[in-house]
Amino acid sequence: MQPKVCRIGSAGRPISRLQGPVPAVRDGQKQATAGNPSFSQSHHFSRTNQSLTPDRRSSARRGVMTDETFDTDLILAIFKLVWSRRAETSDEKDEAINVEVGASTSKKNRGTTANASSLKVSCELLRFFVTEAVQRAAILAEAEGSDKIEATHLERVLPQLLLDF
Amino acid sequence: MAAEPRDGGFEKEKEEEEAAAERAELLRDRFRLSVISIANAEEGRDGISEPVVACIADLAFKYTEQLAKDVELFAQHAGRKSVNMEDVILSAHRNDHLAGLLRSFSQELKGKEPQTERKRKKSSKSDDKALAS
Repeated sequence: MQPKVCRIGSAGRPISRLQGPVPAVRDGQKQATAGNPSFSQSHHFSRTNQSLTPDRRSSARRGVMTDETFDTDLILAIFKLVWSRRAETSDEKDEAINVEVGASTSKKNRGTTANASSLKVSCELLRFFVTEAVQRAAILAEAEGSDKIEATHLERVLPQLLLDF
Repeated sequence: MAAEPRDGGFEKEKEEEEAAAERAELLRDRFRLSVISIANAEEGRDGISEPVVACIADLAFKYTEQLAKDVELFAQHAGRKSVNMEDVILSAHRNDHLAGLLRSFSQELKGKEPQTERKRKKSSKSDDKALAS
């Protein structure tokens, strides 16, 4: 992975990592990605691993976690929903097999559970996902000069975002 | 093996499916609310247009479903019934930076407990790595 340098622009925000391999001789100004013809989507995907945009939140710099994050109960409920759905479908499949084999240990019968700390890490992971999506789209929106994040901005960051997650 | 009665039980199956779909919708709505609050806390300016945040919420929901499946597979592969923190960190293996961030977050969590004092040293090391990259 190429070393990523975090440079702070004039607005106090880190310069977009979307620039990546393009030799950026832009000193401290906002990146105008829209006007850059060499900013093509093709070399964008050649890097399957884009680093996450650094945390701009002041609380993160202080190391305090007072921000919004997902509720662990909600995440657990979603997990259970998916697991029970999978258990149902796999039970239907295993039935035909088990009748012949007899006593086969189908692990999917016993429901999966989750650790408390694993839920917290999952919440953090999902928060990263949302945060990344918003921040990358915001960088794009700012580079294009609009104040509001629109659907076109999300569209363009989506491929790299999905590759990174 | 508990088998779903196929002969006369179609209506019951349908009802269960509908109930599951309703639960999914309810969870999806709660999820969307969380995403809205997180996204708005993140980006202050003029905000995010509404369809965009709904799109992000749906994407995150799908990602959560995939995460659930992955994490269950990892735990089963390790012969466990209960999902571990390592399973979640593994599911982020595609992006090294992300995995590092999660790992340091998990060290912090573990470090908050009194018994794992030695993990604190590791967390400061991985923090430096994450900041330097």
